[in-house]
Amino acid sequence: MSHQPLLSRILFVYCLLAVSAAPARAQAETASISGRVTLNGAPTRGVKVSLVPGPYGSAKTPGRQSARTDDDGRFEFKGLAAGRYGILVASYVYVSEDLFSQSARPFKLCTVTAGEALAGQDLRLVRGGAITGRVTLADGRPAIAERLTLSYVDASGKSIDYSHDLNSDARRTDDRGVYRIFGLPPGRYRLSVGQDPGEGRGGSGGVFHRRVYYPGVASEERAKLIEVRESAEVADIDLQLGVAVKTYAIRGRVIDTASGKPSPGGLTDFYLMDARTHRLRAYSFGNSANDRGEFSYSGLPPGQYGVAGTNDPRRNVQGDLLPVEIKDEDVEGIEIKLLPGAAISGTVAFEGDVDAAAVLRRERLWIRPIWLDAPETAPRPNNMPVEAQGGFRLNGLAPGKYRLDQTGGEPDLSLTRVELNGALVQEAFTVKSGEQIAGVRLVFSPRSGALRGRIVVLGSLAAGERIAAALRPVAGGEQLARTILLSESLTFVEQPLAVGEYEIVVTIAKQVRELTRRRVTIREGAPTEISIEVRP
Amino acid sequence: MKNALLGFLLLLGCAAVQAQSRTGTITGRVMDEGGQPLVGATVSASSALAARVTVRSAPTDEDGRFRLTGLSSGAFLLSASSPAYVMKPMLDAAGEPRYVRDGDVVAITMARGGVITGRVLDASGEPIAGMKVQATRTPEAESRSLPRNLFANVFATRTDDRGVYRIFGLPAGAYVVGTDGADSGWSWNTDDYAEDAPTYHPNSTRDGATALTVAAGEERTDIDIRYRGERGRTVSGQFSDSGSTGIVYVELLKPGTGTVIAFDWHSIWAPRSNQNVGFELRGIPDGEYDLVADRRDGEDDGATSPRRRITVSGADVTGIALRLTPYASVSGKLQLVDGPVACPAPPRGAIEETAVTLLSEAPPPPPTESAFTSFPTPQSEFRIRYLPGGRYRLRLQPASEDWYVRAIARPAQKLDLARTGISLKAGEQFKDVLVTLSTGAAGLQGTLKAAARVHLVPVEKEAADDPLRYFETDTVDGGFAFRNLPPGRYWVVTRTLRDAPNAAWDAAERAKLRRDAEAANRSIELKACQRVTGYALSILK
Repeated sequence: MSHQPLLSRILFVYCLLAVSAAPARAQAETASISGRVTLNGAPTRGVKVSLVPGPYGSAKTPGRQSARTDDDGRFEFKGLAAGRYGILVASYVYVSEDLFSQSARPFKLCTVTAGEALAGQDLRLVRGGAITGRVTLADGRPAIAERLTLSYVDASGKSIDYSHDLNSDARRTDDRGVYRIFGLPPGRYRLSVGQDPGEGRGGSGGVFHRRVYYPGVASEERAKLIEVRESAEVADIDLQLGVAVKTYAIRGRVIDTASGKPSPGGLTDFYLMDARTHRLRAYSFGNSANDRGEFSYSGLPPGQYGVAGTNDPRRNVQGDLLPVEIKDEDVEGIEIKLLPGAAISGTVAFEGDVDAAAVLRRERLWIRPIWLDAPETAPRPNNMPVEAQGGFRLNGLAPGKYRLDQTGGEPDLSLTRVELNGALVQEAFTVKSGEQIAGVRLVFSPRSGALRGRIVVLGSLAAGERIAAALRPVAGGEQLARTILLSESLTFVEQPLAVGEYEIVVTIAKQVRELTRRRVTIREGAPTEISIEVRP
Repeated sequence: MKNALLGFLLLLGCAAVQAQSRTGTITGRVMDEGGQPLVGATVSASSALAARVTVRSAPTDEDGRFRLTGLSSGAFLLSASSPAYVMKPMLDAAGEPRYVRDGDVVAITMARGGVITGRVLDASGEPIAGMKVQATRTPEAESRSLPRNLFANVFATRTDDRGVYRIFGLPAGAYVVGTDGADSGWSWNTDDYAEDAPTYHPNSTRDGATALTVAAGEERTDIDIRYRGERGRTVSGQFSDSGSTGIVYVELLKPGTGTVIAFDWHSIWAPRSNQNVGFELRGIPDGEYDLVADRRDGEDDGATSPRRRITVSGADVTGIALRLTPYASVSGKLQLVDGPVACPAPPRGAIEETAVTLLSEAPPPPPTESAFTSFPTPQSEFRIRYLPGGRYRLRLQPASEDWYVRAIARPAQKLDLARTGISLKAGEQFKDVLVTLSTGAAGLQGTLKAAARVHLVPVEKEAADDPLRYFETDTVDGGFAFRNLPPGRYWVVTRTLRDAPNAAWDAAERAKLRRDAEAANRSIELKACQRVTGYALSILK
């Protein structure tokens, strides 16, 4: 878990907030969160601190508010409902002193219970450093709009891709070939330019440059690390682009197996070989063939690729992945088959205190098919909206096992029951090729419960270890397990939550060793309180 | 996410472009002005049938060569993109956008674009890092229409930790340069300026912004912005659109103009989800504006809302309801008939490569569009969409030099639309237009060493009131060219350039032209299939 790259970690929690960003309902708003902002250890005045419910979100997240620090660097947010919040200093220049706790960006996750005054949420900032230089082509001309890749290398030599945390303009060269990457936490960095085969940027240009590390070496091991100090600039970090590799194209036709004819406008997905996992992974989806069903992907260096028919709900077709190897010429005459898609369709119903008409009118309720036995390489099936009349239809499904869940903009609702022709569906749907399953009834209930609590660690964690927790439905309740977001003090609030039986699984994140399991029942109304003690 | 979705929709849109089977390949080479190949440029072909849809793109290789394959039949506009470079417009002899077709080999020239660079500083002179700065092409300083795609006129970047920004690859033109604090992206980005109205170079609101002209390859330095930090307001509400799916833009305009101050957009991609969709424009300074919602997308004729005049004054403006109603459209068929004689070796051409353009009789000032082009299907049917109500004329650009326009009519009503023009009510679907093309066209090319407009006026009395016999063009590089001319006798008249073209639309103008032409009495007989070249003209006193 702790080895996950930064981006996927952020994305993971980001997905989660889609189901958990609902405002706390009818609760006394009496909690407060306070702390202090220091710059190089000294309290600093006038820094804008933002509070984000959720705790992740954008500048437009409802309920987001901000405060400026006083002379003593202090800030306070009052009148808060119980729940979880992110506090952050949004800055391109200042970074967190304690690196990579969540991200280099100054951020803290807090949870408060009703009436709690949570103090000591301090943010320690330093001014980041900068790396600047010039990238040239082999003939000395500037390399324009060339993207740089930056990795942070920690004391143990482990590197973390840092590129995703930077604003995209800063890690691209300008028309003179000049770049300037700034706001960097102090530390050592590895800088490179160019691409690895299978990285996926080849499709945009006709030329492919192999990756070159500073100071002009091909191997990562021989790269010279660049030492960045706080608020200092490291200049003249120049790089020359590597040798251009010739690129090729893959061309073919999309065939509709139902008619045996080319499929005009048929959609294909494009796959690249992942350098790390050595598996094909979907790179771009739903690319339209022309009116003769012909497709082409160009700008590709030699290597392994894949093309698949898109699982297309509009046409109710579904496709298989075809691996393609490019050696030293264009690959022509590929045939991609579109098979009849399977479908699951039916209606939705509501139980409990729900204004069903209003929900349907808003049309924000979507159904998400979860393909349980999907091959690792398969793209996810499409989510589809519940129509205003209460019907839904999930088209274009490949054969396999599916569960359904809700998604979209109705976070106060939970899918609590799935029925097929009146009978309860306990397990997943098993869908055969092209099968049309109708008569499914999805029953939604309000998420009227809440869970909050704390994990108390008896003893101590080893260096680099941290506690993680997950919430798994056992009977009733949510359709899917979720990660519990823990604050620094290991408190948590999960709300709103469907009522039902759950299991809380606490693990040490680094070693993935289970510590304990607790069963809880979530009831309507007042939050279920729980305290868990673990001995690592 | 929004962008990814947009891409997906555009790709889906391609599927709607249906045409006949042919071996669609366009090849060519992209070079800079010095003749050096441009490596890694992207060349895209947009089907003119739905000009906003990118149909195919291909990269250039190490020799600057590209090969676009799998194209549908019909005519395409090519565009090339390469960072820091700007494509030279591809125009035909008459100065119109040049359409390329199946099998064409095309040379594209790109030149270094302009650069605007400077710093963003706060009131105390401290640099502001991470501030989004955008250069927006401003139509009021340029007397032409800008691309309808609102994103195409905006070039943005962010300041670095020294407050320095550098925007490059700008097409020559006039720009205003301002901050965009309201665009704060996702959670890690600064929202310190999210509520602020933009500050424009040097230190003003949009109204007082200094427009900078940037020539091709020119670098404008020290374009600093002293940040005002004035709070902007939010203009919000809902729109509803009874039509099909597509992308709806909500635009805030300078009153009475087409100058876009700010815009929001929404992708409507599920049927029936287009009712009461919320919109929000942030960071709007106090002032008067027009607000309009617009959709030029989807299966139907597009839709737009009436313009709403709003005043922002020290507070948010909320609860504005905009209702989109359908645009008008003009549709019909082309037919090709044989002329009296069959020309030897007539130039090739396909009916679906014939541009059908509807021109506004009283063109509004730019950037509001006044020309709407469409191409027929292989079944010769055309449909021109996204039309505001008003008076229009049809103009044809036949795909073959062998063809001329013989009649534009609405047979059911016995209407001669060539003479009357088309009067469209708002939202009207004007159908069953029949355009008759005939083979046996003539052509006339000549020289005239002066900047002038050359008119052809029919000598035959019975044609005096037939606008399809009147032609005009402006001299380019000491020459002029007419093609697709009906055979007949013409007077050739020259006039000094004036702003208002299309003299043939107006009976009084036609009469005046005929008087001038008769007085000058310089005429030429053009027989079917005849191509006259080297016709030397001089300005008659």
